[in-house]
Amino acid sequence: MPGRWADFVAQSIVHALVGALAVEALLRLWRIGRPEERLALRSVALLQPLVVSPLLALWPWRAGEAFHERWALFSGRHWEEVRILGVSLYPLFVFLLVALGLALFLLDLVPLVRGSRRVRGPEAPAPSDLAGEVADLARAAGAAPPPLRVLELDFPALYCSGVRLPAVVVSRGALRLLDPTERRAALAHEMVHLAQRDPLVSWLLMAVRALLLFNPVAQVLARTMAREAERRADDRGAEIAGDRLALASALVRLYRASGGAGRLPTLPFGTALREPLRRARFRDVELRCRRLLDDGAPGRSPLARLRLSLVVLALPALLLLVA
Amino acid sequence: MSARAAPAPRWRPLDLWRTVAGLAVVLGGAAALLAAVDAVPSWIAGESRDVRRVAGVEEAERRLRVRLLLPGYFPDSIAWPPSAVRIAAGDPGGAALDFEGRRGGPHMLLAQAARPGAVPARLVPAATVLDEGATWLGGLRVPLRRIVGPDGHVWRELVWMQKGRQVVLRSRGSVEEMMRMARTTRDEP
Repeated sequence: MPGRWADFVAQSIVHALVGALAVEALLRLWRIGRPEERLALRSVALLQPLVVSPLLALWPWRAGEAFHERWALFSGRHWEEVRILGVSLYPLFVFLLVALGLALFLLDLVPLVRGSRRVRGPEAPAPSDLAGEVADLARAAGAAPPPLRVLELDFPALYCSGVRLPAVVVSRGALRLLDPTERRAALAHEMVHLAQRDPLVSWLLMAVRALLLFNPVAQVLARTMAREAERRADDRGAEIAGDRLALASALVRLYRASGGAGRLPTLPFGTALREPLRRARFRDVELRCRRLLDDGAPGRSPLARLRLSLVVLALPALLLLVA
Repeated sequence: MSARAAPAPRWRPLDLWRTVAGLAVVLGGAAALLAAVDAVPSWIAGESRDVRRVAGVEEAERRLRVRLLLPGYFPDSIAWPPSAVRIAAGDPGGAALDFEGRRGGPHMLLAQAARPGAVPARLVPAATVLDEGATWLGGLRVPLRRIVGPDGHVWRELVWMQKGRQVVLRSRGSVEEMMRMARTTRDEP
């Protein structure tokens, strides 16, 4: 039975890898730049290890030797034969990949559980002009005007949170830091998150990651989707605010004022991870600013629905032959 | 101002072509890459792609879903367990067990079909027949050959059918030893 679990885990990882690489190749070949379309295609890739792999694992035909030897394009089982000093490399690879998946999951879960991602502090009454601005921007984004919470903190914080009752949280530090156009652009960005129900989606993504915590490719894919959601909020937020430059400027100001990496998680080996995480965050902010400054919002690509439908059908068909 | 979705652009035949061709290229490339990666273990082992090395006799039986035919008599001059167990899937499929002598070096090969039929040729290395005779085994006349194996040594080869499954026994031992092993070969434990 442990062998069968190892087979399932290995298959899930390979399915995620094949799905993710195929989708990345298609995004480039079809030159898809719009975050909504990129998100949809990446969701299909994430569905492969989540739904397709377990369903395929239930099919007895695929468990038989004849399938592995005659039909499978790739069978992880064949790698059991590769041995070094009498030890099969296959279980070693599976173990290392599972450890990597778990590490990537914990890297995000531990800060979430400890609450270090969100800044806490005493609340102050929201200025009426700010509440009005938030309500206008929410309507423009297609969301119901959310409650506004103002924190008496010098730390620059501006985010939305909450699944059932989403709210916008802004600190005095952020209000002092941003000029009116930057503040409007940053708030518009958060309103798009609310309109898209991104707080709920991010929890669902976390649940998917928990289910696939052994799968490093799924962990990376989920993180990429979260970044894509930020780009979507950038594009639509800048469109609502009517100023892409202001949003880029707000991003840079908030990034710098938060010390470069916000509040980095306290983790085992946290010191070793601090610099790579800081660089990754810097790179992410840099890329988002470049997008905002260099390009306009990417337009819809032709045949987007047909492309999505084809990928939904084609990827499981390919993975049917990958065991 | 409201953030409405931009209208869908009109598509041209070139877009449809790009969509289909792009998908075909990616899926075809992925399939080719997967098949190439799948062939690496066989390539490392120096076997054809559909021949697999397995850990032991039990693993071969599990994967072929058949009990292997094994000799009840096993001379002291041959080392147990087999030094290599190879299987070939398909119909009838088969298994080959390579044995070394107690003093080292290849000593015996026992290859068999997994189901009624002939042993898959890829399980039995090519050899040059020096001479061919016949002998009686279980009331049947079966060929007994002297061959030169791929290692350059002279081997003896006995081929017979058991329950419709072809069995090939090659050995560097004596004919008497081979015959005794062949007579005691069974699929029961």
